[in-house]
Amino acid sequence: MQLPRIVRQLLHRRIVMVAALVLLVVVVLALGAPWFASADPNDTAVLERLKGPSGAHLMGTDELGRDLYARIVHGARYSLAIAALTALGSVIAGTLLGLIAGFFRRLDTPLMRLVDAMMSFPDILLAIALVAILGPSLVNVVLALVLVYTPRVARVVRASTLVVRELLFVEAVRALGVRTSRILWRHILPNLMSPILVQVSFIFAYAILAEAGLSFLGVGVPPEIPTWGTMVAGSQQYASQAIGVVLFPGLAIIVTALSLQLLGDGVRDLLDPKLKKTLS
Amino acid sequence: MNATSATAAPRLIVEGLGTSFPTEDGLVRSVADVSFSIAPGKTTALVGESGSGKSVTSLTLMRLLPKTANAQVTGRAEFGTRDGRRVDLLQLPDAAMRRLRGNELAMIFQEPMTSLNPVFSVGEQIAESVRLHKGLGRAAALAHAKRMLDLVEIPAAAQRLHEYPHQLSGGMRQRVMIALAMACDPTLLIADEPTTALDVTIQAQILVLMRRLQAETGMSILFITHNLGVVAHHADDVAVMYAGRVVERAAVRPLFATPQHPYTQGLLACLPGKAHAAGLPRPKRLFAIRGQVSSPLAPPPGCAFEPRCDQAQARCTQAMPPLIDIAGSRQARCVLRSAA
Repeated sequence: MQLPRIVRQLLHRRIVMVAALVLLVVVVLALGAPWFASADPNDTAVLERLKGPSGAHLMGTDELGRDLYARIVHGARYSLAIAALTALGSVIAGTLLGLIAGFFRRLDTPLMRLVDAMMSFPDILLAIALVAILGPSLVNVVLALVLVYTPRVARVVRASTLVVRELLFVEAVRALGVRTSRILWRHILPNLMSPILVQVSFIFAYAILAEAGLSFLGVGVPPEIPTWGTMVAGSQQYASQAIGVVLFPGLAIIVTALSLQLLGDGVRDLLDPKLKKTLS
Repeated sequence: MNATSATAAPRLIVEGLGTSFPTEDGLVRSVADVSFSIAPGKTTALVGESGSGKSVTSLTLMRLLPKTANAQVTGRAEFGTRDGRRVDLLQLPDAAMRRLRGNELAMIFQEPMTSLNPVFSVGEQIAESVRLHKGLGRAAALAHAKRMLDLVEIPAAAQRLHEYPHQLSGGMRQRVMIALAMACDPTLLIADEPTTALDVTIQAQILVLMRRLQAETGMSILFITHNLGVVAHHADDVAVMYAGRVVERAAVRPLFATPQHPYTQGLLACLPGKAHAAGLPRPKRLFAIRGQVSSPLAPPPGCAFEPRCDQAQARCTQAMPPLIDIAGSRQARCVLRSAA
């Protein structure tokens, strides 16, 4: 029942609202891609290559004469799907790990040292190594990114679990005869929802950037699938002839990632009682 | 206080209860050789200052000590269940203990502000307990929760049912905690300083409420407190604890009229007005027991209270005296008292 109040407060913050609106537009475009961009994103027309924006091609064409607007709109589906699956996967795995490490003290050290080891690699380097091992495909990129971001979530969830497990109500429900597994899922997990929610929005944004980065470096999604990352990667050498080929997918990445970060910031500020006071 | 209940078997008999914790500095004997009993429908108060082992005693009985503490527990705690069996709470398997907790054995805590889960409505929290132990459905459990809120005299219970802990005051929350503890109609309620965090007027209301519920349900109460005024009004029997041991056991009236152990005498002398009421001249200064509680890591060789005792003798430093039976079915752990 906390949500309506949060939504109300979000409505009062303009930047957060703009970010949310932008995201809404991106999501709607992605979901309704065939309707919003009727051109086939993979239709090549060599004679029409590297054209600037025009009535026929809203954002121009790339080096193979493919419609950039159609590719961005259809690419949004892949980029957002990869990011969403990454966020979902790493939040589920990270929450599980963090909850167990935070609650069962004996498992804390082994689990957290594992997490530390994984976090000692730079994100993108670890992802590159994983995709290189697994082979470049849509599923493997998601898998690699989930592995990269799981430790991040695990750490946050563990820290919050350590706080919540010491609250007296945990002892009180134990005194009511509630079993440990139920205490974890029914009583502790709901108290961790706000930090987890914030992590979801940040990882979503990171994942869009990371996917673009991986594709740019050639270890991401196979080039025939139009994601924002593969678009920039495939067309970068033609940027001097038609800036649009990197500008428009680049803008899509920046605007979406920025909006997600801003939304995440806004949600975090509202859910953190200490920050809330200084803001209002 | 009537003769019939005195003859019934006590609901809880604790004998020789000891709880020790291994620490880096050695074994800490937090509770040692604690014995007391609670009759059905009666209240036994466990009195002592902070660190005297009251809370550890209650947590040991509920088996709620954290596993990581590696507590070493000795002794017996014989509890008479609803179906007439007598079980040892300290030996019961975990699953059986879990079925008793919240059902026949309930506990309320000192801090009502943090004892409720902040993300669930109070109704849901009470309902969870009855669904767990009585197998009621969701609707029936919520209806039961509303009756419990009515029982603990929360106004507009139907509306409060859907409120969250942060919307309630401290007194209200402690009422909800009592409703939660009473939800499955327990036969023994362990109340660990239930009123300490509340202001005095609310404190009185909560105590009256607990007494009313006890009269209506016939439950026994183990009342843990450091407040002697509360003990005088609400307990039937008293066990005074000092440094992890029971130093005196008696019914409430004789205890306050003729305290036998020097520590109990000192405690009562600390009460403003008490000395005067006993017919002694009103002291100019408030009495204070000198010294400090000895460290549990380095207990004195003899009686734990000997370093602070004004009546101490040479033999007090020899060995810890046993609980000595004195006339009038009471006991004191002091060599100065002769056996009955």
